[in-house]
Amino acid sequence: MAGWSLLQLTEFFSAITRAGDVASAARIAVQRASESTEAEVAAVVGDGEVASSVGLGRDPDPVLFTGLRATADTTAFPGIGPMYLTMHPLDRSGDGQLILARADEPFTAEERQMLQGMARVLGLALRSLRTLENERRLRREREQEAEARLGLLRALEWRERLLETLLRIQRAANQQTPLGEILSSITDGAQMLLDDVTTALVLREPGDADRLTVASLSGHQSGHDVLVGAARLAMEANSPVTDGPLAAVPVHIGDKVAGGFVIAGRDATSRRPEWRDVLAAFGEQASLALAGASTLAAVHAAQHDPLTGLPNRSLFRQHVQRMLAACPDPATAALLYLDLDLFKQVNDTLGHTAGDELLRGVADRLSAALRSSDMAARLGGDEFAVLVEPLSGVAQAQDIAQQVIDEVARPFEIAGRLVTTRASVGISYNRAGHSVEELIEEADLAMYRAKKTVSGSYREFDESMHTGPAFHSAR
Amino acid sequence: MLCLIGRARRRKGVVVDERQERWFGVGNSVLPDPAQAGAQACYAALDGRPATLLIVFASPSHSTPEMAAAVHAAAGGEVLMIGCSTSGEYATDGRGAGVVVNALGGPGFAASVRAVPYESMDLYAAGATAASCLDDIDAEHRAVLLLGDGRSADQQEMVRGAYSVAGAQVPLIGGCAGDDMTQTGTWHFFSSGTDVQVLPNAVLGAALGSASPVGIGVAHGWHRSGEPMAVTRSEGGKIYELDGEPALDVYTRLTGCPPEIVADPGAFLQFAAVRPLGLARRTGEDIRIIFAADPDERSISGLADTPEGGLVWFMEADPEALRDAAATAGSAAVAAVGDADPLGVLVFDCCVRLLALGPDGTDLAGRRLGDALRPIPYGGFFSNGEIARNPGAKGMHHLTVVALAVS
Repeated sequence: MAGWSLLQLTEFFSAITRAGDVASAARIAVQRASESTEAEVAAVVGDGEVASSVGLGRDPDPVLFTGLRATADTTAFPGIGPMYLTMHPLDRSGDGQLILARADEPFTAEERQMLQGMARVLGLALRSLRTLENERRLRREREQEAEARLGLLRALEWRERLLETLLRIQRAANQQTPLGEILSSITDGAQMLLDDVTTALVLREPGDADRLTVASLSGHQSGHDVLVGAARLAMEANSPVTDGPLAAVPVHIGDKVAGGFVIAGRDATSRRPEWRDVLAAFGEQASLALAGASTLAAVHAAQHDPLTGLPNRSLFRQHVQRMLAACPDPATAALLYLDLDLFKQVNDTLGHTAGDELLRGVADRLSAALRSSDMAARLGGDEFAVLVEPLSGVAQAQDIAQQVIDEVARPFEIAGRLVTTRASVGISYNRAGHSVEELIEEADLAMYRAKKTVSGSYREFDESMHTGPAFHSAR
Repeated sequence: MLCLIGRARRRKGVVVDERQERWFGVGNSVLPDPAQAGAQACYAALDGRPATLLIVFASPSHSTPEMAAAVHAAAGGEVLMIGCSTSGEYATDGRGAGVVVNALGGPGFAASVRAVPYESMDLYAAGATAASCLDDIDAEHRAVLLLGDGRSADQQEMVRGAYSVAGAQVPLIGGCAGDDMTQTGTWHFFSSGTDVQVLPNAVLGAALGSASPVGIGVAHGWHRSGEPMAVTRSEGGKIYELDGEPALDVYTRLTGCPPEIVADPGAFLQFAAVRPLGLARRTGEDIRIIFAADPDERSISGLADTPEGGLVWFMEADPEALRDAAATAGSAAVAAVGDADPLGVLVFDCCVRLLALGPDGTDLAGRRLGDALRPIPYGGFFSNGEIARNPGAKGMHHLTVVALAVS
């Protein structure tokens, strides 16, 4: 039967070399060794622990195996009774052992020899598997360490960029840079730090604390309502809020909530911790900048024409934008574009002070001719615009245009003289898909046509004006 | 980890059996309607007594959810149940395609069950989980009943897993579900109390606790023939070379298998199934059923792993010993309970023995089993692999009969 044990050993060897780790090698060893000798109990032990065992159920007391005397050839396991025992060292050094116990008869010399061979094979396999496992563990640790270092580096770099940006804004604030520019640098800075987001600073409008305006915006030029909504949430909570792809913090002037700083992403993001840092830092920066400007009047100043007190082009555009979003039905709002005739002559003959006074007078008459829901703005030079909204029909726009023309046509008393001017008015109406620029350009084209045909009259825009002979840019 | 658990409970409102004795009952039915057959078999097995555990064997034709529900309901609707499809089942009254219900109960019996659905874990883990029902049972005598999936690749792994939990103190016994040898799929019937499940290709375990001994018997009736041969090249169950020669050449020469049978897979299965190999063991051999040949590779395939380096013999059947195997296993199981009063026997009988014995031989074997056990009731089925793990038995068997006696 010498062949039998040798073949058992071969079988054992081929099974053990297929094991991928120490635990499965030990498990295979106790199974194969016990099955080939029909031993009811088997274990692999080492370092006072049981690597694997069969025959005594799950998790037997390790002492049952580790406590066996090295020279014992019988033992009694609880519940099983007396058994013949054989124990084989896994290698020359170390205390690892393959232990088998059988009830019916002692292990033969041939079996012991075979089991010794199995123990040595197992010892070799365990040693190489332990080396392999150590190397795997080391490699894993090295990889984790490298990854952690890279992550830390990225975080440090990012923090550095954040600080640089804040420092730049701080410097700008200290150098008496106009508030509008500082606010732009805050939203620009935050937007650059976070990829693919829109950032906005939303502030209360002076004189109407309930009304919020986007004072500065970087990123996608749409979705004002969403940004204002997020800011309002943060302002009401007076603490940071998140809402899906939106996050906002309140901005303060002194103790009062003056607005909100908003970040809008495409979707909920894993970069939320960065968002939180940016919101906190830039919200604070915005509060500082606003405090530096002392009052909301400065914000107002940033959005209004200092000469006439009317909203400037930027604020007007925001209102038109909001109107376009809120009024999808065509001709439910109108835009009037005004140009003063003879303004240049007033400036040239009476001087700039008189010119300025005339502009202020026109602004006053304009405001007086409008309903409270309408909005007049000075776009620059002698050009004004009016947003007429809501609109019951084109007749209403025509009436208001005529009223404006009539008001402006009444003589102004300037520096003791009566000065007369006329307003030419172009009218455009909102329609689906209109942009702010298109609406303004159409009213401008219509105004130009009015001025060329009958000065001091109004004209409504029609498509032919785009291709008409009086080319606008030649003006 | 997915497994289902149940433990025996005393049912509310049930009158305790007045005889105050442990009992084992078997009922069988060959009614064509599966549910009616199930109910009839269950009523016969219980005879009005409250059961601790039901063990159900049903032919594939009767392995329906309705049958499982009817058996469970007939036992009162709140009882532990394990069971499986078969390649034929038998009871004290004879054999036939239908339903056999084995039931046991009475003071001193305790049971707990587990089910592991198909492919929810590897077979080793499935065996360990199925046997973990032992955790619930504290009794002087214990055994784990295993009903495996007859089609799974390495059933020995399932037994190894179960043994890792049960250990040497608790015998493992059972069989793998059958499908009339069609290889189409097996079914298991399971209840951990109220719900009844029919699971495809599952592994079930039931821990049985008893105040009195349980006995196990194993027999097959095969013996070695000729000289041993070394398996010089093999992979899993496929044997390429014996003693350095193509395995199919050796096999056909020694068995006299004609070439036209080698060329016909169906005919080869019939021929080879009753001409197995035996893998050398210290005290005997493990039978390896050969079921396929590859004329191109000149290889043969066995139902279980035949490791390279192993020693094998051709096995021959002594017709008498073959016919007596069931009776021998049953008697050995009864003898193993010693002086205790044997109450009943469960028999797991290899389905390939149906081919080896033929219909008449099978009937004769059944009569001899009945004669050997009378008046002890018994129920059994033809299985795709037999399980017996106790001192002197490795675990997974083939072409073998294993039996469990309770007392």
